[in-house]
Amino acid sequence: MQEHSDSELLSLFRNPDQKNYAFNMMVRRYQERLYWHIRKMVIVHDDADDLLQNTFMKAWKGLENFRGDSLLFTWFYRIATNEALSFLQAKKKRYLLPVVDVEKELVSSLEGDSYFDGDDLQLRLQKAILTLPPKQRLVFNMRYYDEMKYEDISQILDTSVGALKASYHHAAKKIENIIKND
Amino acid sequence: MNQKENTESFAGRVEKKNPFTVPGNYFDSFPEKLSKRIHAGKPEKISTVERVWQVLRPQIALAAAITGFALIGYFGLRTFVETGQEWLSDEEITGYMEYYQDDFADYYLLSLLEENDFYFEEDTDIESWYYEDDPDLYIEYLYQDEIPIDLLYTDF
Repeated sequence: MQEHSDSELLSLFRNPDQKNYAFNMMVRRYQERLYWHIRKMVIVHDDADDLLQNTFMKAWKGLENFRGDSLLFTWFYRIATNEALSFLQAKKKRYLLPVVDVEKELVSSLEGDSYFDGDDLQLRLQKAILTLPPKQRLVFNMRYYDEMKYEDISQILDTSVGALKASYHHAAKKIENIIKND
Repeated sequence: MNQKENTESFAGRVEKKNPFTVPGNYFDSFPEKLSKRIHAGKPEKISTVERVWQVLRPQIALAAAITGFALIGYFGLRTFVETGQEWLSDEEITGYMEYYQDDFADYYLLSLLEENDFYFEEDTDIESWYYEDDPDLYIEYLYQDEIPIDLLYTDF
């Protein structure tokens, strides 16, 4: 299969005859990274699957107006991030629960998740990550697991690099303390 | 700030790998599943009136049900309470009263007088008792040619 750059795929997408093909290529290129990004936030596979579909549905509708001010993958990540945060916010409102209870529910989902094959230490690490506020959790996951550059995270979350570094530092410290005292 | 310094203490103990998994062939089948969803027929657009009706319909049904139950309750209770009673209209009540009033005047009054040994004088025209309510008799009386005016005054 011929590899196209993002800009080539965007050009193909604007051609009605190539639109489906181009979008399919984009989906195949980014689906895994976006899925794991969402999954680490919402924990449950079915929720992550729904949100990934919503992400690409919104991308399909909005791609016509994508001006190319940012990289395509940054744009996809931003949509996925908004979907995940909106989902968690809606969950909190739906059950009239304070944030801490949503996190408890996520921990409970994690413990009963049949699609989790980590060992006990990894489970403890995930539980520690779930104690972080959602945005701090995003920063930690993107930096620690996805090994993204601060500059890219800054574009996705629309936050300064300095603030991201401080946020990651606090998150790592908190997790370290939780694991040490666990 | 060196990020490795922040995480190396627990990263050294916890293997840095993604602990989550997905169902088999999930990523292989996802593009096709997404494509079907994208190209699935868009839901039919509903007009504003239909949308408003859809919102109001359950509320109207509820209001109608409550009204229906209230009416059934009211008439049921009323029927239960009124069982064995006859309700008369105002006209019927007036008719009865007039009928028995006349009956009393004619029959009971005469009986009462007789019971109390009250007798009319022989030249008393008893029938004139009955003339009182008949205007024609008055008119006929007045048409008589020879009515002394002093007698007329006396009569009235």
